[in-house]
Amino acid sequence: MGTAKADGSFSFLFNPGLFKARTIHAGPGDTIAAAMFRSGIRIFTRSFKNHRPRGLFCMTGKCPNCLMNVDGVPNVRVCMAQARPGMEVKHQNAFPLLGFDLLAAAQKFSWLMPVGWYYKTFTRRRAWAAVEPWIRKAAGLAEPPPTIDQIADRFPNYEHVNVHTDVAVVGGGPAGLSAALNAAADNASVTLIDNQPALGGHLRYTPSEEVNLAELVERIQGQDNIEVLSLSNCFGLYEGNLLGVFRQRTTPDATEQLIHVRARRVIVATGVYEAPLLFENNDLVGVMLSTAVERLIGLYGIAPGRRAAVIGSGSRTERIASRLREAGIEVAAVVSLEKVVRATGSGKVNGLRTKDAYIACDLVVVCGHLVPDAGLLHQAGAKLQWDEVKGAFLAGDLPANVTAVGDVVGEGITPATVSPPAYPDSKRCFVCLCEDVTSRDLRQAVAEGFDHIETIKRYTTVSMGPCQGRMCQMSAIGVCAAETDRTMGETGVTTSRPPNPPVSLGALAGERRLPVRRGPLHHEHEALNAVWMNMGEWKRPLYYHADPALSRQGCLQQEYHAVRERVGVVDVGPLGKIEVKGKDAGKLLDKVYTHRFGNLKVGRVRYAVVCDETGIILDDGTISRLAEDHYFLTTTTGNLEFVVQWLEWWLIDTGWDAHITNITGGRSSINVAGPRAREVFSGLTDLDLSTEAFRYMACRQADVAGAPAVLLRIGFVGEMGWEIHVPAEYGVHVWKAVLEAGRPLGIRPFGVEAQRMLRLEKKHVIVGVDTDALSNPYESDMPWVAKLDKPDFIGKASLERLQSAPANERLIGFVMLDNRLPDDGSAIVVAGKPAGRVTSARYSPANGRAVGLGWVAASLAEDGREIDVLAQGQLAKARVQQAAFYDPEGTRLRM
Amino acid sequence: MLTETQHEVVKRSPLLAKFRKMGAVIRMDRGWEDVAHFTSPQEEAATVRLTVGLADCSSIPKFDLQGKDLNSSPGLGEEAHSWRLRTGRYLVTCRPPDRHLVEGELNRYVAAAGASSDPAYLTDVTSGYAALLLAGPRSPVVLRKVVDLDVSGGALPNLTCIQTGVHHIYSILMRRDIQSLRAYIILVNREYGEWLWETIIEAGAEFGIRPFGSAAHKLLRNT
Repeated sequence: MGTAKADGSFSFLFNPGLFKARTIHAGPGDTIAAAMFRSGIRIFTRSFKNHRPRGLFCMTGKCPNCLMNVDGVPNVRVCMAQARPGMEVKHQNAFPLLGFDLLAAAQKFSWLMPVGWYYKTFTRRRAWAAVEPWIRKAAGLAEPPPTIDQIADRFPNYEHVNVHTDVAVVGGGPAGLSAALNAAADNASVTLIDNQPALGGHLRYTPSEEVNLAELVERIQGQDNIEVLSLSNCFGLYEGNLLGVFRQRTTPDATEQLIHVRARRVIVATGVYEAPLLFENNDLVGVMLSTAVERLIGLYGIAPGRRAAVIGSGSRTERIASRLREAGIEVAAVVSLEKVVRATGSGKVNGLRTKDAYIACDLVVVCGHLVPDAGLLHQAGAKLQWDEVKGAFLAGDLPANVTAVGDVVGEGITPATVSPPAYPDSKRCFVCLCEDVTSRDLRQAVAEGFDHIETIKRYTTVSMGPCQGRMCQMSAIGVCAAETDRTMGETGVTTSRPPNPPVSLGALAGERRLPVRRGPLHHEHEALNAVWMNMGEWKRPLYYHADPALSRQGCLQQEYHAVRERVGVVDVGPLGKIEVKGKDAGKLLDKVYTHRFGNLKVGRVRYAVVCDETGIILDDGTISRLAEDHYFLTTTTGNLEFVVQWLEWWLIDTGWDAHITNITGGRSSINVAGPRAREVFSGLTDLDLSTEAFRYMACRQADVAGAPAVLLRIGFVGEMGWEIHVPAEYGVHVWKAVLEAGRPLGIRPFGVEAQRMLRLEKKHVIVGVDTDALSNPYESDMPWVAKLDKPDFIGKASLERLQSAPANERLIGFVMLDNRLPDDGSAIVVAGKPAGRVTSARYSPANGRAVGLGWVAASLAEDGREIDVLAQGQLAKARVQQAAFYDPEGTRLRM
Repeated sequence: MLTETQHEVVKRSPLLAKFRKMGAVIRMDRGWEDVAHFTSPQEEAATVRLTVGLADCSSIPKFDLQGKDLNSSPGLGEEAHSWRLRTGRYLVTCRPPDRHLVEGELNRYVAAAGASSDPAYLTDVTSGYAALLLAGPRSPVVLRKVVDLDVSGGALPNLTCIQTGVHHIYSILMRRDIQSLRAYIILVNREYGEWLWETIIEAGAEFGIRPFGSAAHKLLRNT
């Protein structure tokens, strides 16, 4: 199935619904619709509201009559989509079969659904809520795939591409080709955008004696400075000559592309498209636009019928009739629109009733309005003016660097009918094929007072369907003009907005490849069976499943006890790391941070908090002074970029000699902690690590395992420990060396979850987890970070006021009095009323029960007070504790 | 297979573990574990000349030079190239063999500036950036899929750089042709290195992109 044959032919599947999928044979260059039509399939979809059968109508990707589901992707216009071996095509708006659709019973009740019926009928909210799902199911909106993963193997990949060019030409017809060649001759780089698989526009199926298409195409292909984007729909022209282009897949493995074309100059050569005429039953299967007929004959060698009636007049109609005869189709009659009464048939056309006669036929060819495809020009700011001679709206007042050539500016257009065209008052005369809006609907809308083309559009939804007005706008304007006694020009057009034609959401979204940050030790963690957590874009080990026999909790317990009793090592690489250098570096830090750093001694570390102008805590970390003019900062992982920008912002215009470098990615950072941490380093560095020589909150620069390192004696987890920062390329080397040195001591890597348990026992706050956008240092139980005796710093004025003002809330610690563990975010309750929220809670092995941090009203924050915490669905007793839950004196940190 | 003792200091690029899984042949070069080749150096070089190839060059030395009034490059020798990032900020790169020479020159420059009223500051940011070398005649077309800005010949001449986003991730894109072969060095924060590699390989798949190692790079430089 799906294997291409030697002659290039192949097959794909059409799944009609209940029965076995049908094999459709296709030839090279066939679209899906062409192959299906050749196989005898005539009904391609059902209409949106009335479920009327619909067949191929325009064959140019404009109308809604061939929307199908292809390989799980809904709403594919199969008249434009290239057939590929092995693909699966399904109908999408009929039950159970396209040919036998039970939902077509909706037509019997169309009298219940006049124009605007849902506005008038479902005025009560409950009524609309009750019926909306049913309307949604019955209406012709395709079902999206249940999940993207279910069709991942068949689903197209998407990507975005950026093209920069001197000249973008939109349209690959003769005018576009000539414009591209002219621009290329001036040595400009040219991008030619064409929505067809081959260049030539209408010349591909309408031979011309005046233009030699093969020669034109050959010249285009011979130009190195012309890039051709075929099968590419230009769906929007945006500010700055940015063109949005959607490119179909050209091969089964290719991606669908959203191409951003930025051009110095845009030439619009989009030509004209054909729009239908109004007569009763103008939507029957077998009624086709002349363009569709020409394309079926000229491009695919398919005769669209055996006996045809042609509606139209003038030379174009004569040419079409002649073309039909050449293709072996009997032309039963050529009639002008004014003489047409109705097309006849049940579902499929079987004749045409005129004022003079009845013509039996299986094909009605409509030589409709030729409408300049001026949507892009309209989007660019051009004004569309009615031209009575051409019978079309033409673009004028083009903006600079946008030009239009060829049929789109009206070259060679003649009116198809008088203006405004005649139409019957019928509920079977369809103005809008997408939304089943009839001429009677429009008359009624005007009678109800919606007499402006924009209000008619919104009330009736005419021109709001998948064709975006291309099929219906001319007819709608005509009906509106006639009903309001205005001219076509006075009635005007609705606004053209991108995207037109529609673009898949997948293409707009682009690649499914999200950025991932992997630290230098990523693969080492992987080898140790790390269970990952996503922290922003970072991948961090949550814990290590070192022993498959152990549960998650068992692994966490082992990691916890290793740190408290022996030694553990954690990767803290994602911590933000910044260098600030310069003789005024201290001044800058004094201005931005609440603590004093200008007086920090070289070799010392200090806890650091950043507040905004209102005294709210923005970030925290440590600042180490490595040299007189050299500071080393750490920040929280999530706030790194913010802190860098914040520092740079406050440096602007100071004239200070201070330079900020973000070195986060350049350092591999680990924290070795536990009562035996010192022993781990004894063979790895020459530094004197004794308590006296390397005190708590000190820093040194020295080699560790031969790698140049910065060592900070700090302790987030509450044990003696060192944070070691080495150049990232040494990261794996130092990690391995530490693990090897620590093996006899029982060292164990620990992850983020164990780290959070350990730090919570020490009541160490995580900014952004235990604080929020309203937390200040006083309410967060860290008043000592605000050095109000400094001359000035960001937030000082607010902090002075907050210091003396009564606190609203307080961050408290609490110990659960039973065995229950509340979730982060659980409610804190006092006297049966909500009184606060838990920010962090974990089981504390040191306490034998759960401990946590939370916010309560300041009046409830006194030490020892009993509170209720919602834990596992029930209120549980807890006691407020302001001291740390583990080693409150901090003696273990200073060992 | 390389073995590592406790005191043998080994430097690794952010992509090394990935390359090991890909079966790359790895050798030591000035303390770095370096990919010599993935398949055959000759085949890799031929692919690059014909279409496009991608190599890891994270080990190239990179120095961040800043000074309040630093408005011109420090006038280094031919061994180094100064890429102007903005007023008062340059990124200096050189080939790994010239590292000590260039670092020495930069330190002397900084020392001299320190004695003046316009001091300059130097930070070795070699570790901070993953660097990928995208080379070959189709390299601009591959870049169109990941970079918004125009990187065509006229917009980004040889030995110039732009700061841009690769799928919105900050990057420094340097045009550094290899002889007459179009080539770009893309710098991103080191932790994005593996992701960037995968992204470019995926973008270049339709053009037959192929990874290449230092042996092929040497062949390209010398022909």
